[in-house]
Amino acid sequence: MHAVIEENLEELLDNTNASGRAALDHLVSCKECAMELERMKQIAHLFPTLRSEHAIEPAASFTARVMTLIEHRRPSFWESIFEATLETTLETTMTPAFFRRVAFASLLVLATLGGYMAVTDSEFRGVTPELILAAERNSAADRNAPDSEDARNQDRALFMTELRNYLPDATE
Amino acid sequence: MDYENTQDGALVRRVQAGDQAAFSDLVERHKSKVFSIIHGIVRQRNDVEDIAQQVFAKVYFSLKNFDFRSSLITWIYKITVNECYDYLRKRKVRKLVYESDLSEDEVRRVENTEPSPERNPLIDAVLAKRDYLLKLLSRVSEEERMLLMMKEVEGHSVEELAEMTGMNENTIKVKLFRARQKLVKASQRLDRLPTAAAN
Ligand SMILES: [Zn+2]
Repeated sequence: MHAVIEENLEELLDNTNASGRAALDHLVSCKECAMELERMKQIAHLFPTLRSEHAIEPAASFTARVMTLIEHRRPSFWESIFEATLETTLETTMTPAFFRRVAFASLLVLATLGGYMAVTDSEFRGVTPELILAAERNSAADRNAPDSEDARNQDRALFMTELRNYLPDATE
Repeated sequence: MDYENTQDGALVRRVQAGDQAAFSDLVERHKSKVFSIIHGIVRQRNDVEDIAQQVFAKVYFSLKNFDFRSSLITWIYKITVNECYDYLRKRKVRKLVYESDLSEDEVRRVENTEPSPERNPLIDAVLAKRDYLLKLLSRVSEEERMLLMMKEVEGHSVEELAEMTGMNENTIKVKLFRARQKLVKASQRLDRLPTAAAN
């Protein structure tokens, strides 16, 4: 569609004759614009089917029912406190480093759980701290941005504490 | 346009400050309009009130994000049309699930008796046009849908749309132009226009 038609499109569709001579002249000579405009007109003529001719009057009790619905859905005092806290927490913690910590924590849980199940299943079956630490090192290598050395040491210390708790035979 | 200094704007401020009564005033002010928008789109009298309740609940819980950059009615309009589309989508799924349990014969019988015992061809043609348009409108963005409907269904001028949305007239025109182009493309995909047969 050419600029002269695009600029006057709403006037042409409204048939208000406010589109000006230039647009009308263009339509006579440009079949492409004439056809697209015709298609747009046909579609515009469908819109009145979405008008509600016989209005439905809301029941007198409608507003009261809406207010009840809202009352039911409104979070309780504690939920709203939780929501507010969560929002602040998310805003302050949703950083790449935070996600790496989450990934590491998940790994820790998995490893701990795996170790625990290995112990309860029969006796401790070869899940050595070295093996799990190797897994941690691999996952650290997978992360493209290096975490701070401090944070990683902290994580490792925490991890070894967990390991001591759940693997009676494991020694550092 | 300073939307904060309108009657709606003052009520919104009060709701945002926790005043429940102000919200019931807002519902009173806009319920008739919301009912008529819903009825125009879904045409199921029995469901209009349910949908309207959902609309106002959504308006209430999203009002804390209302930033007065447009009029409240354009905000309500958008939420209402979205809720209608949600309803239509669910109804379609329900119908599909329901029909999958029936034999082909039964489906034919159900479909033939659903709207009314004696079908009026004129009403059928209008229904077909409406369904077709709703399909086309599902191909444009929420904002485009709202602008198109405000212009073509509600009959607002570009000037009025600019005032209601806080955008300038040129922006409105460009957005309407793009939206109409999308509708044309969608219609080409959906084959011939039913108007060609109905006119
Ligand atoms: Zn042209």
